[in-house]
Amino acid sequence: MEKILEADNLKKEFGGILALRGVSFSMKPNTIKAIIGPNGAGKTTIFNIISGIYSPSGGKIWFKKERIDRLNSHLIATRGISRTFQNVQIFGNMTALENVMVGCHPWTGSEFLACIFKTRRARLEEKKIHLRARELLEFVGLAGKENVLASQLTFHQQRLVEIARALATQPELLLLDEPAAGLNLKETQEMANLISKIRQKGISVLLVEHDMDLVMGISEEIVVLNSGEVIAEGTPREIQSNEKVIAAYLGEELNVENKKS
Amino acid sequence: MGKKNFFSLIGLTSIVLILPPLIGNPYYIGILVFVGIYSLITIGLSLLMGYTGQISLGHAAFFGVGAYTSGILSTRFGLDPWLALLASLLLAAGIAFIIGAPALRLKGHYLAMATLAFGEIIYIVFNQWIEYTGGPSGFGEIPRFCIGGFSLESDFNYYYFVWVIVILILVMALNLIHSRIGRALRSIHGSEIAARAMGVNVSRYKLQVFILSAVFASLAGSLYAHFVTFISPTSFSVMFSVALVTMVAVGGMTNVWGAMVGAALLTVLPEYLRVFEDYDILIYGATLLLIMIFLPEGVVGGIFQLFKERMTRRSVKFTLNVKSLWRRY
Repeated sequence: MEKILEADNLKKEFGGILALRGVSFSMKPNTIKAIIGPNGAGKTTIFNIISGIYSPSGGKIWFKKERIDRLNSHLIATRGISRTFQNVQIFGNMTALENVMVGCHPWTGSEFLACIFKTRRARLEEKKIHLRARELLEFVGLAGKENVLASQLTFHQQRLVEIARALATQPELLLLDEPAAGLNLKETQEMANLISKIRQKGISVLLVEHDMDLVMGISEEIVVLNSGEVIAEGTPREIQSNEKVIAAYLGEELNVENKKS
Repeated sequence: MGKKNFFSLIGLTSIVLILPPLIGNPYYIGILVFVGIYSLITIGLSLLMGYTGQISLGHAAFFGVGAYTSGILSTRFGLDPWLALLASLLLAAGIAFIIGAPALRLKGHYLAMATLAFGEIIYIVFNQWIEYTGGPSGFGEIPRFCIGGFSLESDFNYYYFVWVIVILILVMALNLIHSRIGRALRSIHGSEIAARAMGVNVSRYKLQVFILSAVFASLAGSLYAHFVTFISPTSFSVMFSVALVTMVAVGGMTNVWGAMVGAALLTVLPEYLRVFEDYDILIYGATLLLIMIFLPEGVVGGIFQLFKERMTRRSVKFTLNVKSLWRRY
């Protein structure tokens, strides 16, 4: 089957510290895949490389058979990869609706002068953007919050605005960086439903998450990362019984007896 | 552009039409011409600083480039003032492109420093390139504009001419703000990383808005040169750049209307303070200080906020805020 995303031997170095030591994995279209691993394993670094915020020190990434590892961030967004951020990065001085409208940037094309002189095309586009943004706010469950300043929304709502904004770019691949962090049980459940709903629209989802119930519940495949290396890849069931994974999360079983003596 | 802005525009247009007959005094008309000219600069500056979040301390230089190019071309080369104006806009855009491309990679204070240095360089050029600029003593006899053989010699005519341009520029700025590019600019202010992830070409839009604001400033410069007919470097020093930034901050950074109110306030206020003679600067400074303490969002934003608080019957809370502010300062 065709791969939507393929990472080959990704390396990233920060001033002598190897955050990624040759990570390879791939993703099938229209799936939900999770990257898990202890803190500092390099999960967010992978996201930052895929979305073009960092360029890798080595290795390649293909998105639908196109090399994207040397592309600028905004070009990657235009290619069809969108993301959310671990520490929510909404535009606080704009309303919820305006935030989502910014997301419509990649598929609209009225340039500077067209906008200044408000040409016919710019006006038509503006209407489309408005409509689409409203739809998406409703889709994530924020109907009625359109005109609230984003900075005045609750943390959970800000997360949802961020997802709606990312969806507005019309991505084929959505990267969610810890979508459930800081959410309560009910909100986490809603988030899981939302992610499944996004996938039903034909969008592939790659997520980094610590909440294992969420990860095991919705993802079809999981990559496990530990200190910058892939230690396991497979279905949730395979991962749960993988010895290396258990060791990475809980420590080695063998050492127990040594300690006693 | 929204109902609110539409009605504000109608309000502004009627004020512009009504004011001259009410005032009558040509000296005050002259001051209102300056308010219009400075508004052109602050509207552009508010797009750059308030909306996009990029500080410039070099806009007096673009104002000067407009004035000098227009002045030199129309006096020493006998060019029609309109062509001189056009040439100065192109030159300002070119300079803004060359300066902005590297400088806008800088952030915060560093960008402010770079634009400050640029302003200083241009100021030195005005002073030293005596052959064309006349050096520190400047040069005069700059012709005024003619519209189809109709000279804009009287201050009344020039007043209407300038304010028609201001309203046109204001409409353009409002169009831009309420468009995909405007939102992209504000997203850059909010979070550059997130803006990029939404497909916004950050460096490109920063440069475009920088060029636009430079062109507005240059336009103001041309209008200035053909109005006062005599120019010298002192009008374009770094101090004027600072004054422009102050106008934008006092009026309200995140609002083009605020930029205009700031320009009006800071141009008209010194005229009223003349009665205090030697103490005028003191009172001027104190007024600005009070505005920034009690209306940190600027005059327009602050008053709007006050109004809103009243409407939602939270005025009690607001007075409490004022009290706590008093205690703090």
